Amino acid sequence: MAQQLTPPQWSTGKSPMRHGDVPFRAGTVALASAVVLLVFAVAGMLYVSSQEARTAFGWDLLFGTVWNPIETELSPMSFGGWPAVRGTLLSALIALIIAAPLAIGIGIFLAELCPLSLRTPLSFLVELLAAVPSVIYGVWGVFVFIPFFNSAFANPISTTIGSYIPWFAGPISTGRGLLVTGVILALMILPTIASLTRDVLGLVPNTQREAMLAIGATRWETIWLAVIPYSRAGIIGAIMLGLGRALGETMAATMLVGNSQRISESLFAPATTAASLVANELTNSVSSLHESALISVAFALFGITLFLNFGARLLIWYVERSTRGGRS
Amino acid sequence: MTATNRTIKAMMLSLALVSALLLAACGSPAAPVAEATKPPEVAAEATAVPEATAVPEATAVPEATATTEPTKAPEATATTAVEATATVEATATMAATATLAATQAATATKVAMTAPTATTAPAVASTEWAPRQLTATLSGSGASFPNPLYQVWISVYSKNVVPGVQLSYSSVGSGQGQKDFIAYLTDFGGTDSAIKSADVASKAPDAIHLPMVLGGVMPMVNIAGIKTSLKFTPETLAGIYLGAITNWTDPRIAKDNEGVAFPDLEITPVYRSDSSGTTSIWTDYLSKVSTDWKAKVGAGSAVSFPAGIGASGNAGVSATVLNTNGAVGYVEVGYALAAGFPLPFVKNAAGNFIKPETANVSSAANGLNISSDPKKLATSITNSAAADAYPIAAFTYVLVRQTTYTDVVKAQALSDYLYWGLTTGQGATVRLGYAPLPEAMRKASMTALMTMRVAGQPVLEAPVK
Repeated sequence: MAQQLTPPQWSTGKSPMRHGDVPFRAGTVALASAVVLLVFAVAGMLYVSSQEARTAFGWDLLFGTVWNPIETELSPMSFGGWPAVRGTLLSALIALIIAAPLAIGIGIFLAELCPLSLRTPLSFLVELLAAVPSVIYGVWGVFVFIPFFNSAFANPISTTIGSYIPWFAGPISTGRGLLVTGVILALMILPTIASLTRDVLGLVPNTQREAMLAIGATRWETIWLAVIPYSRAGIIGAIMLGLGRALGETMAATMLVGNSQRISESLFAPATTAASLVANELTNSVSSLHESALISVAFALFGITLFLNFGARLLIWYVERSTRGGRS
Repeated sequence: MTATNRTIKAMMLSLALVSALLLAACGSPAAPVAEATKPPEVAAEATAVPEATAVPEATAVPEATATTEPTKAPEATATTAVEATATVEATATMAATATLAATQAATATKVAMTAPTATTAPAVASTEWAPRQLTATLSGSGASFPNPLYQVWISVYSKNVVPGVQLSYSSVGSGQGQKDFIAYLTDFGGTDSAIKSADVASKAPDAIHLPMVLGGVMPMVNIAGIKTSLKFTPETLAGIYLGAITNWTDPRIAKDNEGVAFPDLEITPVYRSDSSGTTSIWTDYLSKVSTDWKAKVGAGSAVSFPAGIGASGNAGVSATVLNTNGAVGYVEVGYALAAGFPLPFVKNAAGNFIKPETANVSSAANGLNISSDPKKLATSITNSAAADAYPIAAFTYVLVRQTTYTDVVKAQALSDYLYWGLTTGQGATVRLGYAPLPEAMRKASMTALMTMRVAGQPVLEAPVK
């Protein structure tokens, strides 16, 4: 990893066909371009199917606050996706704030500090957590976590801090809302980030650690000044992968978020996310405009994930560019 | 270096695997592979059938042929059945595969074999009716509301009644069921709401909505310490869901429930977050009884609820209600019965407080003005005027095509199954929490079913009783 590799020169004067180079190359190119084409096909489908709603509502689809699929005397039909987009961003942000430090801590422990006898079983358990289907997190959230969360956290907080900070205001009726969703999402992305962080830290060459130890650094200084900076890009990548899962999570979010299109300042109040809104209403949409609006929300979600991934790429590129192997 | 070497090795290995698979798939004409590709062809054929080559004919042929048929002697029908399969063979030649012909030959021999021996041979217009022993694959999709009932019907029918018929129904929601049916992806559809009249005219002009069964929707309540059946008026239900009545101590609720000591507790209305037929019935009812609701929220499978929280599915609503003190949610009666909830009283249009028991749900369809047009059976029956009717009830429909089926055997098998559902099958409804159709509606539904034609020929003739 550390030394710069130059791509080996494969042309040895013999016919390229002899080693099957040409078909191999063609095959891999075809497979790689199929993935790219798939992304474009999905984006194109979303773009075309959302055309109807986009011409009717424009940017209101993203920033409008009223979602009403049924036209009545007093309430006109309106498809404002902001409650859903906001819910998606907020719940993913909450999940990230909770999960990232914890997961990096777990990763560091597993890679650097854990006794060898514990490392394999612990790593296995962390990876097992990543393999639990999201519906199980949802069920567990509904039946176990929410009642606990309400009595131990939501109710005391809303009656004390909540009267000053509107984010934590009551009343807590069912306890479903963005905060609970964010906490469960944090649990879901925790193992992803933790196991990737462990893998990334495992790739740090021992020479890095030995150099630090040789100049008399403590364990902490070794990890903080040599190991972590070396693998910064990889850790950011791990966090972004976790964020991607949090943004797109549908099942657990639907079960926990409360599915209400009203925007409330309180994180305890029921809300909705883009993925759960689409999953809930698309199968039985009441009109073609409704369906088109839901696809627009899906398109927005697609855009958000693409944008964030692009941002992550930029961040990694920026970090990679800076000096490796610790700060001076 | 070792890392790159390893990746190259891995790539080579995967390429080798892929190429091996490719070779196995297309290179060698191995017997198992060839066999494995055959069944999908049959499936493709099954879905491709409604190319509707016979449509213009079907509408042109006079109904006189229908009336001459019933006079034939019962033993003659066996041969007509065989003939029917033969004509299918002829019509299906455009995409006929060897396997299809084989299955049809099997059908023909089966009919020929069973007809002379069985005492209940396919009877035409006699008082004894029994489904014809056909071999067909029928698929449907749609409403989740009647799904438990349809699954029971299907398992009984294809296990004990007509073993040759492969029936499947996937519960994907009324809207999707309508779309699949309109797009000819399914042989029949299931829906709680009628296809919009504009769509009927443009996309499915020959769709018949057959009422199959009735269902009710009821409010279920969780207030710690109160286990009695509560009484609701249309005003209190609309008020709760509009967010106008927010506490159980509200005098409007207390007025109807004398003797019940309500705690000072916030009401949490729970609604279906997924768009569903249950929501359609509930909001249709609230729109009829509350002008406020009609003006602000409206009726539909997914509406913008002004208050409360959403949970997915009947199970989600009932779990949320159970977990939340002071919650009220609306669920299907069958679901609430299975979960052991006390049935509430709801005040109907005649002013009586009625529990959603089977007979009362059925009564909601009494006194209906049934249209004589078989295509216009779909109608809303919420807030029924009948004195003993439970007011929040609705039909659930099966969608069939009146003239655009092209496969005679399929159409026969389907109509037999639906006829069976409207007669014998009604017996299973009560046990599963649905209400059987009242006589008049059941007969109208059967009559509508019998207007089905393939190439101008009626596919089912059976007594309407």
